[in-house]
Amino acid sequence: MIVMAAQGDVLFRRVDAVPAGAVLQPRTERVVVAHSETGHHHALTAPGIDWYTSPDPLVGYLSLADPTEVRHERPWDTHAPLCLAPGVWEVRRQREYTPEGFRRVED
Amino acid sequence: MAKITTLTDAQRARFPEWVARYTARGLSCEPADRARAARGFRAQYEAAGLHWHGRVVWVQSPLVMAYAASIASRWLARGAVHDAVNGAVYGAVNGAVHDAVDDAVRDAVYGAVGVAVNGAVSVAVDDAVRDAVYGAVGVAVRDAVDGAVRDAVDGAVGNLWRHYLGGALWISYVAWATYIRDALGVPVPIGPREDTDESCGWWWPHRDFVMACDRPAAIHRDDAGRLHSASGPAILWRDGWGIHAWHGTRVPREWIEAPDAVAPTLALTHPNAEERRCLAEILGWGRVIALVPTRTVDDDGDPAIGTLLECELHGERSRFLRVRCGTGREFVLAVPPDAPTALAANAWTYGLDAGELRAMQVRT
Repeated sequence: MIVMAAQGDVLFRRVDAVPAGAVLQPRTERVVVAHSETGHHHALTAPGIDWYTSPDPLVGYLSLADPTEVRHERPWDTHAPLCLAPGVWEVRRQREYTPEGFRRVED
Repeated sequence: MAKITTLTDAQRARFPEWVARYTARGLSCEPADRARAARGFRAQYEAAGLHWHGRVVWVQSPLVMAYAASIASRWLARGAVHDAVNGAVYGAVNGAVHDAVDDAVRDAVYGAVGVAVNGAVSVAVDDAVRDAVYGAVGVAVRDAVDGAVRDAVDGAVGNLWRHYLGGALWISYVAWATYIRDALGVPVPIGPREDTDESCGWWWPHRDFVMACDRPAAIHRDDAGRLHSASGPAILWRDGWGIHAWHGTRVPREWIEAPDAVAPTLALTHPNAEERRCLAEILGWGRVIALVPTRTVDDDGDPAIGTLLECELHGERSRFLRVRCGTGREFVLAVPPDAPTALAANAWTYGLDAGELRAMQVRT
């Protein structure tokens, strides 16, 4: 069973539960877990997805009732879809170092 | 007429014909057919129940249109009530043909046509070109509004420039509707959109005028259909404005036209990782490494984990991870100067430690 996978600059890690402090977002049929400034988001489209943000802006949580595919929405140089099993997944955005600390990888 | 519930093999066999025809029309670099475009403007005003004023102003690039149409509109309104009035004009013109077509084609079978025809033309025209034009104009407007001409431009242009209709760059909708009309024999009132989308670029409807844009003079793509030119603009309009792109990613003009003048350190430090990768490819990794003296601190052996590099940048010791992503492309990411190994550096980019990253099973 897959417990950790990456789709480009987004990492998915299976965890036992959504931690305290995470905030459930209003439910929508399409959840963008990583916005791209050039428009190629990483997104899940299915009913029954719970998406939580956390105090760390680079970390969120997905609670999935069913197997759900994460799609990279770009027609070229496309990262292949990932199928996440039902359960709770930690979603981590990639970062890079700056002299001031770090910044999210922008693409 | 009888409801169409399935498509015959003969009807499906015509999909490629539509895709090829409308991809070519969407990417056409012929000068605008102004007379036909004007017929389409008029018909769409009339379909929306609006008075046709008969005033069409032609410009040569969407950038000029973004400024000129917005400023003209604001000037005509003397700074007042523009949004309410012209927002309504834009919505009405944009919606009139759509509503009529939608009324004519409420049938599930048309979804299959949409995937096969509209979807395929979209990939070639919309995704490759339309989005690049929209993005480039948006950036140009934003930069101007954020820059030296803020006071002059800000209030006038704002978001008004987005009230355009796409012309040839929105042709995938026409491809879909004409297939239904011509291949399936369903009467679909798409004619006004055919007239505009097959004859001009962006156009901007206003109560008192239409501003219309010529088609590009040249569009260059790579073998995969992505916008690309290694020697000049990937899209060039007749007034000289253009969009530079490297295999689908928009990049600054000087990276393409004067790469020798670009500081090679930018291939390591440019803020956007995707654009940074392009610059490294434009300059060539060998040249970047040669011009920015770099030593290898650690090579993991797994390209997906990467190679940890060190160099001096602006008098500071800096470390970078050169790593291959799931699509096979190579990126360079800045990592902490005390990162001990490529694995530890790669794990740090995800906020994990090296041991945790070893659990990675799939990278796409």
